[in-house]
Amino acid sequence: MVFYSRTGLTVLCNKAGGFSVSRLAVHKDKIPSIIFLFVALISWEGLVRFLDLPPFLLPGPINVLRELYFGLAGGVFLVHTWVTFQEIIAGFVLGVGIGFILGVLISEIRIVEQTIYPYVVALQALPKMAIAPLFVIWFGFGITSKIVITALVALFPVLVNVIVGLQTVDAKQLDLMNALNGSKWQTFRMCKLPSALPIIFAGLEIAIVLAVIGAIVGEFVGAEAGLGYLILLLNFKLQIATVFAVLIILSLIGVLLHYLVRLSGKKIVFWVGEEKRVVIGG
Amino acid sequence: MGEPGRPIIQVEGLEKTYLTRTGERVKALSDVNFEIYDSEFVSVVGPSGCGKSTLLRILLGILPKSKGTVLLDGSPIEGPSNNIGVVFQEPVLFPWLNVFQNACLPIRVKKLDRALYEERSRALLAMVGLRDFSNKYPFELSGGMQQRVSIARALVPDPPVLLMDEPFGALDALTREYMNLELIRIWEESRKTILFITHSISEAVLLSDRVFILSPRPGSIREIVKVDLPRRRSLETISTSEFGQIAKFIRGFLGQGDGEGTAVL
Repeated sequence: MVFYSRTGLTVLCNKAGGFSVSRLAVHKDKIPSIIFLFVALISWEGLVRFLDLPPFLLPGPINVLRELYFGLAGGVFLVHTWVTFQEIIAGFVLGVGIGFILGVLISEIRIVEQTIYPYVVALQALPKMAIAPLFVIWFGFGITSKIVITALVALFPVLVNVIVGLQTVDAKQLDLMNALNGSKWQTFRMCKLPSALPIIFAGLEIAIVLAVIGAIVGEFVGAEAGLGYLILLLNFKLQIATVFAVLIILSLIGVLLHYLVRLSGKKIVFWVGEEKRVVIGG
Repeated sequence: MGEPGRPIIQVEGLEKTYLTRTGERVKALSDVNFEIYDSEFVSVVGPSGCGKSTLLRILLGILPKSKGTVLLDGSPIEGPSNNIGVVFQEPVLFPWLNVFQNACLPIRVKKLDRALYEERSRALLAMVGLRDFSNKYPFELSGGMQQRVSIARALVPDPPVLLMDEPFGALDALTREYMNLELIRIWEESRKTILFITHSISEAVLLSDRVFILSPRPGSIREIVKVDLPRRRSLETISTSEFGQIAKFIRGFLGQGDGEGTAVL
């Protein structure tokens, strides 16, 4: 048990037997962090009460949980969560799609690489948030501008990892495809793409986290709804306990989406061990 | 065994010059001449960097030659041929495909008749002793088993010629011995023409009808040694005095100071 628990989630070759073992190990592994959470929450509440801090400075966790409950029960949070969730998902899908296609074109077609890659690199160096206000002007205060911003932010880690993944294919595998007289398309489909998948998925994991950030920042710049919009609004009203409640929802969304991407990665790229995971770009 | 039938591979005046990154010209092969006959087992031994792998890649049609003629069954090799199968030093299996799918890769790439060749691929996996491992993935197999998958894969399209580039070099001594015996059996069953590149003199002698000895760079054929040991050979063959004599004779050409001492058994 201890052997598995050190790395948290464990990839085992035989899927059937391994799962229960690793789940048990994860539970055992989480005990210290759960204890830490409770200690931190209790000290936080104690500190707020002891110093008699006003809620607009720092609300206690009980206060925050109450706001979370009312926000959810009243339906306000759900409406805004739905808006932000749509922005994240749509932006992620769009960004991943464009990033993937661009990455494939750049790494497979020389003339495309020579023509547009320098600009792609330049664009990557640009802080995407700096152009967010432009998108609000071009696409309005609605959901579209947020999707575009999110897509732009999510695009680069995918693009970079697709290029790196496709270019780090084992030369011996290419020799084999060559010796079998495989066409360029066959070599791409049967050899290069699958062997790039582990690195592409590493890019997707970064992209989903950035997508959450992108949607929120997009809403900060100008929006009519969404969790980012809500945070700004509540900040102005000094309803800090409610802001904290929104932050909880936001981090839950982030953790959940990241977990889903990671999980699907592990299912699809099953042949890669944890220790070989490569994380590039970001 | 090894009776000179019709030549299936003919190499004449073959030369290969590389251009290095710094613009230097390096001659890897110089004036290589030989013929390999149908159903013959030929080994190529030589010091490191003598162009053994270059020769193999030229025969495979994945590396252009600089000069000379290379004929396969009478016609020049100008690109990868369906009549040649290859086993590399490493198994080069795709980790996302299981054993059966890996063995069937040539069927997909060459768009061969699925029903017919998948049956053949099953039979070949059985022949290399992996009948019960079809659904396993490469990382679940030992190195020797992986290499047997790659041998099966090379045989699936039924090429008359098989090129093997130090296929057992990465295996431990025991597994290697076992694989040698397996290869003898496979060769006797399939009657392929095999060109086998190796570092090991005893491996070359045990397996081959003839052994080509290459000189150091630029590589050329220094000597061709006929191995007249009776078939079917086994591990006992190694302990006969004839075997020892042939091995000693070959070692005489490869000699000292080429850093091969440890690999040459």
